[in-house]
Amino acid sequence: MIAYIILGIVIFVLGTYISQFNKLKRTRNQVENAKSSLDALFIKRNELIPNLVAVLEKYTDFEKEVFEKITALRQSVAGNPKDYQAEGETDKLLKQLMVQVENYPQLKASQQFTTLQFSLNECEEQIAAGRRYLSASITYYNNAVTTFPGNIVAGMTGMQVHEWERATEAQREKVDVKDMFAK
Amino acid sequence: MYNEELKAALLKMHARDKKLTFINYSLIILVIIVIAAFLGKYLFGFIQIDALYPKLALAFAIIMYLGYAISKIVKINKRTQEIDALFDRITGGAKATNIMESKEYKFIIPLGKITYKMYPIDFLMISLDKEPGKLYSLPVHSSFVTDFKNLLSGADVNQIMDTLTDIYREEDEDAPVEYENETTPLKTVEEFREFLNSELGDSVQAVEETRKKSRKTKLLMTTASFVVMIGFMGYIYFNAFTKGRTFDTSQIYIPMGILFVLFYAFYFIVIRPKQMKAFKEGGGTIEQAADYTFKTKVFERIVKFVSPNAQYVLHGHVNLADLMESGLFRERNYAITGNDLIIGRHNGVPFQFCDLTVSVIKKTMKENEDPDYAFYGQFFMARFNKSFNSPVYVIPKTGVKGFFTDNDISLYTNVEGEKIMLEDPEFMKMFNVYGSDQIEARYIITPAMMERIKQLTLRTKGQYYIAFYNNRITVANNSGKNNFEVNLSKSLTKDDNKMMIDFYQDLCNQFAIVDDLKLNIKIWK
Repeated sequence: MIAYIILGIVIFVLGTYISQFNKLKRTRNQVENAKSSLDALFIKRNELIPNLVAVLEKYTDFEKEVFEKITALRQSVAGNPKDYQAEGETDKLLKQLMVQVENYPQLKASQQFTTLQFSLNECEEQIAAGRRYLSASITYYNNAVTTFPGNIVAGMTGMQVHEWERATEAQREKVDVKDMFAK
Repeated sequence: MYNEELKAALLKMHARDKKLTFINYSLIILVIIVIAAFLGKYLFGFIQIDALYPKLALAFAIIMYLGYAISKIVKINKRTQEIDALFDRITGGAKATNIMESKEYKFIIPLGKITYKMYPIDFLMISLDKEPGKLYSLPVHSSFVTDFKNLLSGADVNQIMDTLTDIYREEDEDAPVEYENETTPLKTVEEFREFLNSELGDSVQAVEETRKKSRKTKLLMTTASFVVMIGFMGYIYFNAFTKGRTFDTSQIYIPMGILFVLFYAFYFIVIRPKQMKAFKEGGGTIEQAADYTFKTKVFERIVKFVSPNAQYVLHGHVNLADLMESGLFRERNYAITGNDLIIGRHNGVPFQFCDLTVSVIKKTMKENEDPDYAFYGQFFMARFNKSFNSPVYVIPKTGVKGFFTDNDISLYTNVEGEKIMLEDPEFMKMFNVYGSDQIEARYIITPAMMERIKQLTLRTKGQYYIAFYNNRITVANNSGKNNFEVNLSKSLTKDDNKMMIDFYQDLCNQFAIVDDLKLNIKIWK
């Protein structure tokens, strides 16, 4: 009788361990899946940027600061798409550049430029959605790792809390629109 | 061209109805002959029935049925002229005051407790404003019903087609980008009051007078019927239960005869002239006169006041194809009816909305069983301002109250994909979100969008089922009520035009879906 009870307890504990382990693995895979989806969106945006640079370079009457930003943007695309810090810098450059080119009416009238601008906006929206999905996945994973009984299995298997994706310093900087127009 | 196509469709359906009717009556006559022969040879031959009565009754029944069949066939044969006459009237500017729908099954096989009904044909019974008292009864294929109703409502069909083309347009990668951020805000209630007093005062008063007269007539009819019924029952009671009197059924024949004569005299002298007047003003019945006059003389102008680019179609509604294109409902055999279609562009966004009732036609039903109602409320559809590949569904949580009070919408709503947990906890308490792509769902339903949907629901207290499907948004408010209907018992002008203000706010709530959800902001290709 006691043997059966012990067997039952062992099976229960084993079953709980297996289900919690599988749950932790699934949630961690979801985090990786979310990161991969976000990377795909960054790549899509980075593929648009050379087109944007090509269109902008047709116009030679830009001010010096605008040319510097175009050059910086071209270089940022060559970087590692998985480097979110760099992506944050690209983000900031792109936004600043878009504001500055508003001062060039011949560029705004260009259908090519307008189309690119809209495509980039759509990309940004999709990247924002991707980041929200990544946050949700990380939250779900961290909840599984820190709550009972998942935290016991996580401790035994070495699974740790995943850091949330935070905004970069560049992205947290307060945007002074006046400065942008003054440049 | 549009009229010609509809006429051709009507004639085709008429031909089908005629063919099925001939076959049906031929089969019935054959069965009657067989049964009559059987009864004549075997039953009456075996059982000696001396009385002439049963034989006469049988012969009378057969003659009556044959007479009915012949009259139906004659009526069907005259239908082509009726269709021609109807289209002549429509071309001359006539509009339908009332359209009723019915379904006629061409083959009915009664087998005791089970009856098989086959080959259904949809019929529309149409009253025109320029022909009071005349009813056109025409078979129409279900796919043409809404087009026909649009035509009968005097709608600008070209504008409807243009708007629908815009709503269903495929995303063209090479098309120039649209940028429409200019908005004309909805006018306030105070502005509407000013418009009501300055422009619509006389029309509203005229409708109110019609309503009062209609109510008075109806009250008179009801009181008269009640008095007659009480009098008749009193007579029966007096004869049946008073001590010393004997009652037999023959005693009621003379009083019943007198009552019928009095009733019909009263109807033709007092009621019928009022009804004919009501027909001329618009409406198949006295109640419908007030409603038709209100919709054509007042409500249409209110719609133009709210949105000059929108068109009001009195009898119009979305069709089955639009319903299925919303992606919100499962594929079932639905019967759709509705009214008060408003279609056009608001702040550059092509849209259509209407009052809609969707019921489910089951393959087997009990005699007195009501159909399942999949939806009853306001149905709104517009082009969405973002492109997406996978559908997203936002379904309200109705709770225990909804379980008891709601119709059967939850059985027929289509929700594909997994449940998606979004960031706004208040939103997630009110709605469940489903979709197959987590990122695309968040791309469509941004935090700002969630806030707008919440505010729309709280302000209007609606039960909103929202589907994002094929670059369109459908907002189905399962409110359980038919908006913008005039009631004989409620005054239009009482309490400083309260009913008119309520109608205006209900109308604005529909247009506000475009503004609240910012559907006009298109900065994405």
